Amino acid sequence: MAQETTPDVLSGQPVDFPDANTPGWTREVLRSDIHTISQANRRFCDFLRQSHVNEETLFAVKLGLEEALANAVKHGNQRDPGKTVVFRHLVTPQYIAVTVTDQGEGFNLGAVPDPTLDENLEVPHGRGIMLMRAYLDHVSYNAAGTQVCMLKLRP
Amino acid sequence: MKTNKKQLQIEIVEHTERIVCRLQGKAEFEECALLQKAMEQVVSGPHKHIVLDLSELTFICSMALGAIITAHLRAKRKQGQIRLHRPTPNVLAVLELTKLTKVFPID
Repeated sequence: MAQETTPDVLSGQPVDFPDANTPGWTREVLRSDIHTISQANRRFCDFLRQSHVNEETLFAVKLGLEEALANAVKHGNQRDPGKTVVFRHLVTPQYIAVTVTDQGEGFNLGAVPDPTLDENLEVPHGRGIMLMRAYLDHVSYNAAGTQVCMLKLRP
Repeated sequence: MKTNKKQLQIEIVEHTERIVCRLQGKAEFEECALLQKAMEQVVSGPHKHIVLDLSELTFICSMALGAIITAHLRAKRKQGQIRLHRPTPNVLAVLELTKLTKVFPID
């Protein structure tokens, strides 16, 4: 697996992420609205099911991707349907890799509060990144904060 | 009230002392507006005891959790409570990871 230079800033786990030169990447340019990204996630999960991905892995990827796509539309692109979300995916027998890129101004990862602290438990938002970290084996952002790379190892 | 949609179905049944909101399917990002509306309906009524039946909910995203937390806050303001009934293993795992098991009673 070729390696991307971006470190896994979230989990710190030593899981390599395939770079753009790795054969097999598929790139989809999506309209930045809820319906379009939801359809894309369902379509991708149908493809994973057909690729004999087990249910546990499927749940993890679906959840991570749902959160990443939702963040791209809501926070990155500020719900502007004139913008796009780029969704790339690569499925191999060893892993499922995805990237989600928005056209926003990025964000400061360090400023995202921990939603599991007692004082934040009743805050209705802010759990997306935490769930991505919990369910995937690799989660990293580019320096601008406009692209997230995620990878789930297959058992 | 019963609303039908491909990914999420919501059924609300009123009893004498409690109201039960039953979620079936997947609480995805796209379904959250529907969920939010149903939760608002449930907490705006006279019932203080609200049961959210999760026994047939197979997927939940953070935005759906947010809709439930918002309803919980409204219920709490009028001395009400939302109980989560029989969450499926995947949904229970999400509740445990997010530590929402400390916020909601689960039976």
